[in-house]
Amino acid sequence: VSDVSSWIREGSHAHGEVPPDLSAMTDADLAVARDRSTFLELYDRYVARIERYVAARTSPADVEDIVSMTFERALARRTSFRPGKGTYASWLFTIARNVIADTYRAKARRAEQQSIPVEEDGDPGPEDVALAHEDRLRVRAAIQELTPDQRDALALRFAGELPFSEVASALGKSEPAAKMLVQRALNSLRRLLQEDDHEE
Amino acid sequence: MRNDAVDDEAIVQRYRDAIPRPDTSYRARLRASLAAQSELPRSSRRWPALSAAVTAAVVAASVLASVWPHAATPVSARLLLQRAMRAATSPLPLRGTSETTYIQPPPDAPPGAGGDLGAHWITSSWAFRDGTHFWLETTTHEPALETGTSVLVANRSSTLWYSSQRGVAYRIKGLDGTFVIGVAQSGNILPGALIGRDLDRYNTPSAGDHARVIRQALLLGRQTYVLKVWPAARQYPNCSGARQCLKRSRAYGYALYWIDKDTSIILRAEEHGVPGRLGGREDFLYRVTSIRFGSGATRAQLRYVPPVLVHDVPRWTLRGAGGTADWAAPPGFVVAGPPGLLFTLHNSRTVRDTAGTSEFSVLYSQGSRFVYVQEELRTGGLPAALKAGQQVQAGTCTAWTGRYPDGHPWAAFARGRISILLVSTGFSPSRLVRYAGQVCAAPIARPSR
Repeated sequence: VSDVSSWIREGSHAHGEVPPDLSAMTDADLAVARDRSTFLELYDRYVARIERYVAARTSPADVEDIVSMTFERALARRTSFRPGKGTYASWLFTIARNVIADTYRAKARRAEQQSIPVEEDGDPGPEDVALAHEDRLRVRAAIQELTPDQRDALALRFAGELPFSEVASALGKSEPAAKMLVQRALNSLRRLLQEDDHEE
Repeated sequence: MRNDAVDDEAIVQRYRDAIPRPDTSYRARLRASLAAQSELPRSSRRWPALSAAVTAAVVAASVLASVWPHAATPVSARLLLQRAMRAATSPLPLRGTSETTYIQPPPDAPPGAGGDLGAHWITSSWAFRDGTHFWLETTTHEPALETGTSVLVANRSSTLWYSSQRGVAYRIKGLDGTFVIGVAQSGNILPGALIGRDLDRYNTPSAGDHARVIRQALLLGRQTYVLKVWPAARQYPNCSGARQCLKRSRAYGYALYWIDKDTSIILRAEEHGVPGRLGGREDFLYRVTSIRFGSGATRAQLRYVPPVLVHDVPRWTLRGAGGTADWAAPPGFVVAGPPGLLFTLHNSRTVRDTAGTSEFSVLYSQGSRFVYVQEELRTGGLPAALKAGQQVQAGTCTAWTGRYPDGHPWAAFARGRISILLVSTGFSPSRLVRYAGQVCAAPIARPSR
């Protein structure tokens, strides 16, 4: 119990309402129930992962807006989720991808902003912390060298923690193609960082 | 192939480490907003069988609960614990007051005097706007040497703590979640950490903990679930490693929580059957004495200005040290030596926080006789509760003496900003006053060069 803001209080529930143990229900059952409490349970399950995915793809200053728009859009369109067509996770991450695209298209700066920005995120502090901080900046700079597809695939897989089948679904690709994309992105990232190491 | 996998793990880890960590304090607001937006007209639903059955059960239970409030309710204990913890740590706009009592002797208290020295009585007023904006005023009435008021204010841009006892105020920029939770929800003021502990253990099946809703009750005019959790405490004797310790653990007591149906706020918490020898709390009771929803911390409260200079610090710290090795009184405190040649140092304890050393104590013993010396930094001098005894002269110091309910004599006096309490098992009151005179003349510890 260490992070105040990671706790989210339960939304006000109707007087006398006694819900079942939602934590035992599957995503699909929660999604199709379309009740306030079931949507909030899905929010609790996914907000951290969506937030991390958005943080990996955008500027920290935009995270709150984009995460908010993602869940608001998911709420507004919750009747469009069809369990037979894919998982709730891939459906939700697809919404997040679209919100990011819409946001930056609207701002007409998609090319610059749809990657992890290289920016300071706080006082690096003592030496070991400073070294870690410097490494983060180098990795972020290297990520910017990847193709947009590769950046997106890495973010879905390792920030959103989606399995390959859901990465594929969110990207509209086959599973082998998604695996190949992620592997190539990792190889490119490794090569870029090694080149960076050699230059030093 | 294997090396590739290892390579991948390393690069993935670097990738994950590079992801910026955004401020997450908006989550509670977003959740509340989504909750307000997420009511659907029920007539248009088409559900699969399982969801329909689950939701039908919800609706049926809801109807039953509303017309028949004393019916046995199929509510999940785990869900109640989860909700109570969330509500405790990221609450709705609300304000109220509470009272907490328990016994927790200082670790170096003399045998037999723990009940007197460990009695705690704390009252609090709190006003929450949300989990990151709140005002919390806490008044300690017992132990006598620790009486005073502290104010903790968090307004997202900074967290400020003021102590009237110490006459200090410290502020950190932003929200130090660990500190805020540690102080505000430690269980002594608000019970968030208490229920968090129970939830953690309940979520660990091998711990063998239990939780059950045992009844419903009306408290402060509000409908509550009464949740029983057991055991309330565990002892892990002579073991090493989690599995072995869990196997050998001994369980004690049970806890009860009165959880508000509408908001999941804990309105009352009790612990029973936890023996004092475990070193923790016993006879714990937390109760909300008044509560009002919809009216949270005011702008003025969130902009609280303490009556002393505020120091900006990078982080909060709290450290304790104890034992007999390398013992020395901290600088500024009185070097209270043993009361006689035959007495030896039995224990000592020093508590340091952001503001420096706040408390220092030593315990001397000779056979079954113990003398305990507790020194506390108090800018306002000796607390009124300790001036309720008989006034005497101890050397050049004016002291007050009396007896605790269990018969042990105490003496108290102040030297500058240090208030000193002496408690003895085995001394007569007059012998204790003579020792007080000796401590009155003892030197003040200087900083080491």
